[in-house]
Amino acid sequence: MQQTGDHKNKRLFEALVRDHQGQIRAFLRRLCKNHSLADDLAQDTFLRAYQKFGSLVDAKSAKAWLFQIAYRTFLDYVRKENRRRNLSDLYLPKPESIEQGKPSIKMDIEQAMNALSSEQRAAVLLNLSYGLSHFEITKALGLPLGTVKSHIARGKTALRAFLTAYERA
Amino acid sequence: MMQDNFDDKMFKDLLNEYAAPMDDAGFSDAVMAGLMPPKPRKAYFVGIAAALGGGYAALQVPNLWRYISAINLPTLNIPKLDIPQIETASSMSPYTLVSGTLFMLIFIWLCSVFLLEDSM
Repeated sequence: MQQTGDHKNKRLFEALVRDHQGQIRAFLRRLCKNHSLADDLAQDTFLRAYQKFGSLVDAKSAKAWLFQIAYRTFLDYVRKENRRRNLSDLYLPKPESIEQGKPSIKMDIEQAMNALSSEQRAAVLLNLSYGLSHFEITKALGLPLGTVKSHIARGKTALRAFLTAYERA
Repeated sequence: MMQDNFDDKMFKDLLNEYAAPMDDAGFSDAVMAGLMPPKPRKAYFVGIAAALGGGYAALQVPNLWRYISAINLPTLNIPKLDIPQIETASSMSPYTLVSGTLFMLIFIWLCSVFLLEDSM
């Protein structure tokens, strides 16, 4: 009986992983700017999620719940690295994805987004790209509503400035 | 309001490629293969160890009692004062003391299992 329950849980969890892995990995890649590290953190995210799977009550909130775990996993990693390296500035590995050569719109967006803090970048991505509401973002990032709104507004300003510069060029 | 919606759509399109979901490429299979069977709760191990230790300790009580009763303390000649006597633990039987202690240990164990379960 217990085993049947475990199997059912595992099947449900597998569906959850397959549905959301793409967005969680992309989100983490944009936060930590390192592909292999992002995949390690994503794996860690899903392992943590599996341990807490019983606490997920509403399947509709699964996406916000997973983003919350992913963001906490990222923060834990950053804190651990900061402690290890004893640096006052936030340590993050060098970006892998900035290509050399002719500037492109892809590169410029990346630069505009990288100019934001990781908290702001996370808020902008969750809202504009992954469709989370402001309330869901407050839960996922553990920030007050006012801060989330200001982060998103700042992100939009940065993107608007990028667009204006791009149109002039 | 309409301007906001238009802006949001524009930003969303702008970030479309930047935030595009990754292809699975075996990632889900790797996650599922890495899942451990749920770990047995640490609190149960602690509880079982406490029960075994408590049982062993309880078996030793008669020996302990024999040793204690073999001790002969020198008697002191203190003049007896005429004060009212209060019922204290020392006036209880050793069996009451031992069973009371065991009940207390079991109570502490149950509390710790309950609390640890909540925190894990």
